[in-house]
Amino acid sequence: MNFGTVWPEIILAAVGMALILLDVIVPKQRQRALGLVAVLGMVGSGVAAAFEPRNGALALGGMIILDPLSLFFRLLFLAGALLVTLFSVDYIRGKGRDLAEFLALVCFATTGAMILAISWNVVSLFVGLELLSISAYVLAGFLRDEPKSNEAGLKYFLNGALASSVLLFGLSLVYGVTGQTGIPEIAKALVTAQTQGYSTVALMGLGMVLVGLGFKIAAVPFHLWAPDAYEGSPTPIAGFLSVVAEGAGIAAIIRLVSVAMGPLEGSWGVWLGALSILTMTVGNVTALWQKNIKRMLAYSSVAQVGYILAGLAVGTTAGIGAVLFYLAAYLFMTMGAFTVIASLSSAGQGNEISDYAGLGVRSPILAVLLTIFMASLLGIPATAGFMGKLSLIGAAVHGGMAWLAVGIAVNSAISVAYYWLVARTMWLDPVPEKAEPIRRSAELGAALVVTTVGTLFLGILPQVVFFFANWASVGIR
Amino acid sequence: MSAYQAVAVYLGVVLVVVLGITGVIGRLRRPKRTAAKTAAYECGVSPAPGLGPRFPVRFYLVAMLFVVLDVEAIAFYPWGLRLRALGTRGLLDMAVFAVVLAIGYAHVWKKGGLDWR
Amino acid sequence: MTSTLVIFIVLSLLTLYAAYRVATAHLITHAALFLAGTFAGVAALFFMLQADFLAAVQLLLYAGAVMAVVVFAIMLSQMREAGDHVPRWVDALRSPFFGFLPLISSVALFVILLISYLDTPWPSSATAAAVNSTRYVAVPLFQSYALPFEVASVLLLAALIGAIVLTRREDDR
Repeated sequence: MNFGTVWPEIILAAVGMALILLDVIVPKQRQRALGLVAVLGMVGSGVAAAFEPRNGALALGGMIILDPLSLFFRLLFLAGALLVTLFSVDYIRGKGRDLAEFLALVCFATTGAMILAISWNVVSLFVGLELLSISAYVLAGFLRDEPKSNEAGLKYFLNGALASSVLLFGLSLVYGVTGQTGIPEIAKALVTAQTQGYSTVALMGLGMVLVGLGFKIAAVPFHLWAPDAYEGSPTPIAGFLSVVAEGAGIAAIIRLVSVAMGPLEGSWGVWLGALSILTMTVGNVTALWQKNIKRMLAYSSVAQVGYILAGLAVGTTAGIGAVLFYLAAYLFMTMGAFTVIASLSSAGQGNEISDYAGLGVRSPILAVLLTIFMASLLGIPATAGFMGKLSLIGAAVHGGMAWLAVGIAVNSAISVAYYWLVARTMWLDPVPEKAEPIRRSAELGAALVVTTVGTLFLGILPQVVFFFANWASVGIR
Repeated sequence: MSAYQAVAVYLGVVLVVVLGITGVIGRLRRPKRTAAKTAAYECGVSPAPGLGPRFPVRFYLVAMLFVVLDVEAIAFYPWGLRLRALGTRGLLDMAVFAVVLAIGYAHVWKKGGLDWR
Repeated sequence: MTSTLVIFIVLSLLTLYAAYRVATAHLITHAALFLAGTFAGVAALFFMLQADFLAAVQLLLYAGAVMAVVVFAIMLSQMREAGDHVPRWVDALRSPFFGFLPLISSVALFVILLISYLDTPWPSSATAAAVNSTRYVAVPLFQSYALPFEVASVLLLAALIGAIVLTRREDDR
């Protein structure tokens, strides 16, 4: 057995460790360079990921699988972590907190997400999830002097710990029934077990797994932590939670539920579809009342999770492919929106939507970019979000679940209201008296360029990513 | 299970003695519930001294570091018992584990987590 | 066989009583003490299942380290102790959030679990239980489960950094 198959994870974790060692050596005023170290490490990890096999081979004693899906999620999480790093350098230094510890925790959390996504065994999947979660709890509460950040960390921790224990209880029931920890072995044992009447406990276990993961991705009955966690967390971490942490939850659902529950097919697709409709509707309707832009984006991301769950409910190859494409689109548009918010709050502006009045005059570039990201989240043509929704709707119709397509369409219509509110405030409301123009750092500028290009590229030339997403979704079962 | 009979007997004796002593004392003097009795600790420093001095949060840091390093220590028991059977591979596994934790320990040390002052 | 059953019933009752008192104790320190008792009881149950490694871990980590954290947390909190003389259960049952709703949901969960456990023909382990299970934990832990083991070390590292991040004062350094 060799660890060569997990080079991307080893590199990333090693960069995290190097960062905390460098923290002592590098003087306080030169610590900006640590951002470069983290970026180089993430790029190196991505290059290593590209060189890993992707033929579906099992490695490390069947703990992990190296298939196109592994490659997709590794690159997705690394891209998310890279954007978070770019736009947290100034933010964290501006708050007077230790950059090295912050970036190290981002590296560790991303390592956990990657381990989770490539796991082919519930033990390594759970350990990866916990590495991600524990680092993320600390990151959410990282601004120790701000009560809101403490609140965010505490609420995220309490809900996340509950979710982990429910998930683990469910896994223990599944293990009790099947006696297996490997995901394909569990699927096989469940088929045998079903004929002998094991399935009550197995279903209960899988139900608990789904509930635990539902907490992690903030699906609706389990979403109540999300707005507080997003509002209080450092803004880069709000982006990280919505892209990497929730993406990891989706990866776990694809790996665990789709494969292990495949044999128990029955009606779980319908249940997941109901969860999806509930999630998008509650998310969108609650977002209508929000006055704080981070809370609004939190509810908006709850709604986006609802759209993603629709693809999982369909469960066909096209459905999973649409989910993966949507995750890529979601990465760019959500990170972009949070980057704009972070650049404004670094410049001393508040996070209330009313603070955005006249942004179109004060900082036209940022206003145009935020409008693009909002348009993409809404699903206007020529943006990534449009292509994502289109492929989800197509998959739902072809998968015989047209009611999900109707749900997505109706919800997109609802969401026009709150995205329009922000756009109107930026472009039509009068400029406040003492407004100053906004200055941006080089790192923030780079993050903005990447997210904008990504959002437009996926909207105008989606073929490349579509091909990748469909290729990754073929070999799942 | 028979290998642990001595341990079971020992634990039983300890349990009987401790419960016996507390039981006898409880019989001899029926407790009354007073303000002093409902304090968190029935003797020693009062934990809620109004506007008085508070315990530094360092106590908690020490407790948390203790938990983390205790978890680490657990891993050494099975490793130590099967050191020879696990061979070089086991040695390398444990070396990686220990080095990673040593980095954490160094960080805690450098950041002053172990100083008292 | 029957003596094992008697020991099991006694241990379970003690553990359940301790767990019940954790939730109903008047004093937070008493709740902590009963929590330690619950952990010890669970350790004894693990021991009866011949999982002596788990029993030792349960004692060392939960009855030892976690209890230390709990006691420190109590010491650091400034809280007001409940000093009322109304019988606690009367008061508790009246309140929807601390009384009947949790009671109903936990009883319902218990009944559902019990029914499905009894309904399920559990697979029985073919291998004889080991006397010293610590020796038998070692080989899978360091061979087939080596990846989760190493990831766990990174997890502990993240926890160490987290402890420093969340408690260290800025003026300390």
